[in-house]
Amino acid sequence: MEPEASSWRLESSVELSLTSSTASSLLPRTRIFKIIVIGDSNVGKTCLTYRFCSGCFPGRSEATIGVDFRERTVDIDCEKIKIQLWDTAGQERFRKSMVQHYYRNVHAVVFVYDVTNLDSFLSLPSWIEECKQHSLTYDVPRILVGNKCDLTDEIQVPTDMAQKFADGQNMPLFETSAKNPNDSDHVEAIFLTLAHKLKCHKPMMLSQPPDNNKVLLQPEQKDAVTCWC
Amino acid sequence: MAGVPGAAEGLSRGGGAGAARSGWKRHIIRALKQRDRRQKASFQDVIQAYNRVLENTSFLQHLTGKIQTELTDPQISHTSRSPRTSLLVPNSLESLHAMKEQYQEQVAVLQSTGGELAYKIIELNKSLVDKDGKLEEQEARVSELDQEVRHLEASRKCLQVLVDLQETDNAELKEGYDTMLKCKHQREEELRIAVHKGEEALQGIVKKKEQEAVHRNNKNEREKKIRISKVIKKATEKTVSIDMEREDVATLDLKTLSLDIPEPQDSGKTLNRAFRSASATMLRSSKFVETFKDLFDFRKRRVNSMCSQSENLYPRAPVCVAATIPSKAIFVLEAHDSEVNGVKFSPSSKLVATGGADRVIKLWNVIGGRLQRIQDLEGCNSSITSVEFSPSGSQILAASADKAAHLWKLDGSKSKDTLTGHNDKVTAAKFKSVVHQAVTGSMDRTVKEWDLHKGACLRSIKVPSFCTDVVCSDYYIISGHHDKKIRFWDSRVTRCTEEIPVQGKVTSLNINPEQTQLLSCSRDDTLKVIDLRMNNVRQVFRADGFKCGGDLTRAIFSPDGNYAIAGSADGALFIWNVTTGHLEKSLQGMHSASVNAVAWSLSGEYVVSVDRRKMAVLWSAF
Repeated sequence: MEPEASSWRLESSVELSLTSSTASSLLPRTRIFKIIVIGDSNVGKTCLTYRFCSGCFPGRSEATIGVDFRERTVDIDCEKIKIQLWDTAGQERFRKSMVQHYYRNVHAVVFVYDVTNLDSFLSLPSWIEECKQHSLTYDVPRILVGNKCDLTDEIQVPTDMAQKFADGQNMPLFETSAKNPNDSDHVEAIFLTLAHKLKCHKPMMLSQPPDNNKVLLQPEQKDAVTCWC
Repeated sequence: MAGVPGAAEGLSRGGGAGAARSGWKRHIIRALKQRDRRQKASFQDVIQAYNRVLENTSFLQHLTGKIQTELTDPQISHTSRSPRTSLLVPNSLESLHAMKEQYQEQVAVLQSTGGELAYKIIELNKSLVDKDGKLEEQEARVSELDQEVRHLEASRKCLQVLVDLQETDNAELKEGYDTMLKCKHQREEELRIAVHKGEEALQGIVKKKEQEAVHRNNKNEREKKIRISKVIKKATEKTVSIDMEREDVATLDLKTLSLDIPEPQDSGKTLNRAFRSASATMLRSSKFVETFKDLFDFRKRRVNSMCSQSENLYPRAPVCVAATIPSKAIFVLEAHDSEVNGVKFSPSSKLVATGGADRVIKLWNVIGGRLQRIQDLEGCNSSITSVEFSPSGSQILAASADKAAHLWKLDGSKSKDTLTGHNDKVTAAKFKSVVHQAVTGSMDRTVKEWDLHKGACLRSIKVPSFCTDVVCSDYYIISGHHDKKIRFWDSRVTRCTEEIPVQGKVTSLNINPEQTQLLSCSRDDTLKVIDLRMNNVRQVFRADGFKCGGDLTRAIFSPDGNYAIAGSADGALFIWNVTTGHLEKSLQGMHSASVNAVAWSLSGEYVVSVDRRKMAVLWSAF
């Protein structure tokens, strides 16, 4: 432990003298954003992630056991970013032993409910509570997604109600459908927005501008609490 | 007539009178005889008929006479029959008439009865005929029924045959059913096994998924590290000069920098920078300003513990205004299957956790002066030596003789972390005031600091002697040892900052809520109060009968810091007043064995003591 720490100290002193800016071209590896998708069973978490990662709607899907991983590399502002979606199990018996792994080093949380199922909406507070308990020190970005909005005549959760709840929780709300092809862009847009947000709020690395060797340290405009690690 | 026989006779006699005469006589006789014979024969019938007529006539004459007498004079016949009656005849003539009438009546009656009888006969005859008819009818019916019976008999035979057939059929069906039933049972058994297998498979999948998740997480972290180290390498090749333009630049810079750096290295990396940004931080955190030194310590401590803002400290626990001295036992129960070593109240005072040598931590609800068991926390592999609630009350930390400390979350997830690294019994495990950090003391002569978020050891302090208990203040860690010393450790300095010798092996340490005093219990059967500002022993508590029962006997302050309580080897509890130093109270008689630990609820209301004989006692003032 000790020698390692000292070597890090050495490195850190160097690192500290650099200011924030991205240097994607210099990076050998793409950044990975771990995003977990949480919500009641049967709200369409699997379909949503599948839609985003493979571009189509899965014909039939079984209950997810534990967790499924889906990845997609996207290009944001000329930087390749790998979005690692953790499609979690909604059923308690398939997830109970894994919850702590879900939340470990997570970058963003997507809460999903089914607009045609009021219960799935009403259980959101418990999901949010779980999230709070497991990521105590990190204030990760969270978004709320209402799925299956193509079933217009079965809607049980009105948009204004959901919006109110989302505002109360300080989360952006999106209503979409993983099934309806017209909304597929929307699904993609949601995740890309999230990725964008993550990228902007999480300056990749401190690096030096190539033109001169002088760096002006400037205060960041963001609030101190926006620590997205 | 008389003439003829006489003539015949005279002829016969005249013939006899002379011999010459005899010959003619004889002839005459013969001729007479012949003529007699002829004549006689012709008249014989007449004579005979005449005789008969005579005879008949006389008979008829007689008969007639008789009838005449009877008819003309019945009385004569009467008289002749009974002479006496005949005498009365003239008197009883009337009676005779009466009798005659009577008889005639009788005759009439008889005649009528005879008529009746005749009628009856007729009637009976008629009914006889009827009966005969009926009889015939019945006979006809009997024959009919006989026929029917025969028919039925025949059909019965037929049906019997059918029944036999059916029975054989049924037997076959039954057999089929039995085999099917057997089949069904077999299938069910198969289903059960299949379900079981399915369940196992599911468990396997979940386990695999879990491993995969862990793997992913590790991979993500690894990649991040590699990426960062590469960036750093790259960056080190360049030179840079910094132009400090504003005062607060450095602070913000620090924040920015700490963002993307993996956790374990944070402290080291940010350390240097922290000094540079000291002035900015210090001036703003004026509420902590006391002395320059204190301020400096404070800041350093915060930086070391990787906290950027005060949110990483536990919120202040509620303060107890006044604790009431318990006076009586209100609830006694056998809490564990074995020796009970540790007991603590939750910060809310609603829960009690006890840990024992039976490797289980039990959670009890304090309701209405009773301890109600609500949950068992299992997972330790050996005896539990101490239990502790986190200041938020959401976690329980236990030290165990299985060389590890165990951490449970009480949020229902039942997740459990294990802190491993000690080489011998862990004797104490305490939360630090910084969130997600803990300190453990062990028989392996080390005291370790832990990051609970990662389950990793942050620092290991080597000590010359067995550690029996540790406590943490905001500034330092204090450990008690077998070599009769209490040692103070500062998180910045590797060596011991202070040593306070006592007269016996230290068995427990406790710090008061204001963090100004330390209570130690030692094997010399004394409790000592140490002033943490002066680092000297301020008071010593002794009592007649107080004997420290074991190497890990725990003594504590009351939540308001006014009293000190400890259990003795004989099972009595002793309470001292900290201000006066006098024995306030001793509670005896509830424990029959050495009291291992005592807990006082933060509300000041209850005290729980646990002993070596499995018992837990709840004490209260009322």
